[in-house]
Amino acid sequence: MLRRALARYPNTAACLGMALGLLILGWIEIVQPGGFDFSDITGGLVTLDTMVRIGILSIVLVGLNLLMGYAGQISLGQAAFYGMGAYASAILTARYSLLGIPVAIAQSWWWPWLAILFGMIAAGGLAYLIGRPILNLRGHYLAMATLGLGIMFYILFRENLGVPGDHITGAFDGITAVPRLRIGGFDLWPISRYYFVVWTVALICLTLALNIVNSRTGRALRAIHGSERASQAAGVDIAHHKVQALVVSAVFASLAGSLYAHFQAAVSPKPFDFAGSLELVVMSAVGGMASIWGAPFGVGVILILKEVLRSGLRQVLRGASGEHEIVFYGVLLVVIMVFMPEGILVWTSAQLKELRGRRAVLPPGLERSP
Amino acid sequence: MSSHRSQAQETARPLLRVEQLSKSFGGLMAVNRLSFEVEQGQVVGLVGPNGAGKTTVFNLISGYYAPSGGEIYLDGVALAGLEPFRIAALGVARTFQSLQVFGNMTALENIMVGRHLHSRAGLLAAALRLPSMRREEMRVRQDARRYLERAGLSDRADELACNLSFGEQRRLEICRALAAEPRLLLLDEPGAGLTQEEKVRLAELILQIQQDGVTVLLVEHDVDLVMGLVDRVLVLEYGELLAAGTPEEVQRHPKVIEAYLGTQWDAATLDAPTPAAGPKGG
Repeated sequence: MLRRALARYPNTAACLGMALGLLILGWIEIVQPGGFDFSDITGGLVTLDTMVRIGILSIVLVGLNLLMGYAGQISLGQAAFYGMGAYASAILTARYSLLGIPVAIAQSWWWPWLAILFGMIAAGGLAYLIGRPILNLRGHYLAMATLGLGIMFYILFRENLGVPGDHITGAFDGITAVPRLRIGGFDLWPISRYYFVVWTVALICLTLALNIVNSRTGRALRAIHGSERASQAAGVDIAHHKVQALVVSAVFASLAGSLYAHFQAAVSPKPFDFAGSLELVVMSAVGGMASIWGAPFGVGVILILKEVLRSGLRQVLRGASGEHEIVFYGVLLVVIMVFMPEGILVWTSAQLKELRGRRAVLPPGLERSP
Repeated sequence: MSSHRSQAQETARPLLRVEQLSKSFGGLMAVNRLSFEVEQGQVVGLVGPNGAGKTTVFNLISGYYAPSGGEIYLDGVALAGLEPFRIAALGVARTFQSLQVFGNMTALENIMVGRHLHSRAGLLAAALRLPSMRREEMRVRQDARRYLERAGLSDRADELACNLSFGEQRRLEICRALAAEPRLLLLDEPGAGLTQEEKVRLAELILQIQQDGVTVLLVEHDVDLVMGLVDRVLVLEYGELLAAGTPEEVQRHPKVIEAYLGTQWDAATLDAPTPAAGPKGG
C-alpha cells in the first residue's frame, strides 16, 4: 500500500527519502552514536558546515535549473541575486542604525525574517524589471547581459553601492556581526539547529520547483526550450513565462543569500563575483541542468570535490599548490562533462535503470536517457 | 465589402479575409497585394511553385511576420501586427513545414501544451498545488489523451516526441494544434516526407477535422492529396493570386495552364517552374 503510493508519487517519495536521509545524517553528526563521526572517517570532508553550505547553494541551484535547464535561458549573473539577498539581510540587520531603524525593531526576533522577505521582494522585483528586455536576447547575448548584471552588482557590493565611504557594504571587508536567526526566544543556532533550518527551506524550495515543473507553467517553459515558434503557436506567451522563471530563480537565490549571511554571520563581496556566478553554472551542469533533483547533487559534488583537492592533493602530489588544484579541478570537470553530459544524476539513474533492467522509481523527467 | 454581407446570409460567411496583403523582404515582394477569403468550415488548398509565397502567407496570418501592407481579418478581428500567441488565442492554430514538436517532452505533454489556451493555472497555484490547479491538471491530461487518440498515438503517450517516427511526429504536431480547438487551422505541407500509407492516414485525419467544423487552410505539394481533400484551391505565383476556385475550375483555368507550360495539371508539373522542388513524397 505504502509502496504503491510511493511509486505513484515519485517526487513525494524522493522528497521524503531525502528528508529522512538528511535527518539521519544530521542526527549522526550531532549525537555521534558510539563515537561514530562522519567528519572523522571522511577526513573532515562531510561536516555539518559542508552540509549547510550544500543546502544553501541547493536553493540557488533549484532556481537556476528552472531558468537554465527548463526554460533554456542562460544566466551568468545569478550570484547578483544571491548577493542581493545576502547584503539585504546583512545591511538591514547589522547596519540598521544607518537606515534610522530603531534598535527595538532591529533587535526583535522577527526583523531578520522581514529583511529576508525584503531581499526576496527586491531581487524578484529587479528580475521582473530587467526580465523583458534581457530575456528578449538570445544565446550569447543573453549570456553577456547576465554577465554584465553580475559584474555590476559585484562592483556595487565592493564599492559601497556607489556611495562615498564604506559604511554601507564595508567594501572589501564586508559586513560583520550579522545576527543569527531566531523564532521568538528560540535561537536557530548552533549549527546543529541551523542545519535543519537550511535543509527544511531547501526541501520546501525543491518541492515548489518540482510542482512548477509538473504544471502548465513548467510545460510552457519546456516547450519554449524545445521550440519557441511552436510554443507561440500553441498560445504560450513566451516573454511572460521567461520572466516568471527569472523572477522565481532570483527570489530563490536571494533567499539563499540571506540564509548564507546569517550562517556566516558576515558577508563580503568575494562569493558574489563572476567566479561565483560561473561556479553556480558549473554546479548546475554537473548535477544536471534539466532536473530539479540535480541541484543538491551538483552542489555536493563540486563542494566536496574542491575540498578533496584542497586537502588530498598535497598528500598525493608533494608541493602541490592552489594552481595545481585548479588544474585538477578543471580536468575533472571536463571528464564529468564528457562522460555525463546530462549531469551526474541523470547519468547515475540511467546506469541504475540499466542495472535493474526495469524502470527505476525516479522523478519524472529523469528517465531521459541521452 | 457590402457584397459579403448578402453572401453571408445565403451561405457561410468568410472566417478569414485577407485584403491587399503585402510583405517585402528588402526589395523582394514575397507577397504582393494578395486578397482572398476562406469560408467557415471549408478546407482550402494554397498551391503554387516553390517561392510563390505560400509559407510567407502562413507566417503573416499567424503573426510570425508583420505585413508590409494590407489587413488580415479573422471573423472581423484584425490580426495584422498582433503577436503570434495572441493570434493563437483568437483561434488560429498552425503546424510548421519544418516539424516543430517539442522533442524534449513526451507525446502526451506535447498535446498538453496544445491545451495551454484552455487552462489557466498560474505560477503560484502550480507551486502550491492548489486544489483548483490539480483538478485542472487532471482535466488537461484527460483532454490531451483524447487528442492523442485522434493522432493514433495512444500507445506512445509516454514516449519522448523526438523518438517518434516522422509520420507520428507529423500527426502529433497536427493534433497538438487541434488541441487548441482552433477555428482556423493552418497546415504547412503536412504531407511532406510521408509515405503513401501515412498520407492516407493524414487525409483521413484532415477530413475528420473538417467534419468537426474546423476551417483548414492547407499548403501542400502533393496534388493528389490536395485535390481529393479541398473545397477550394488558391493558386499563388510570385506572391500574387493566379487563380481561385474549385479544384476542377482551377485545373481548367487558362492562366494556370499557361503558367504550367500548357501541360496538364498533375503532380509532375506542379513544381515544374522551379527545378529544385521541395520535399515531395509519392
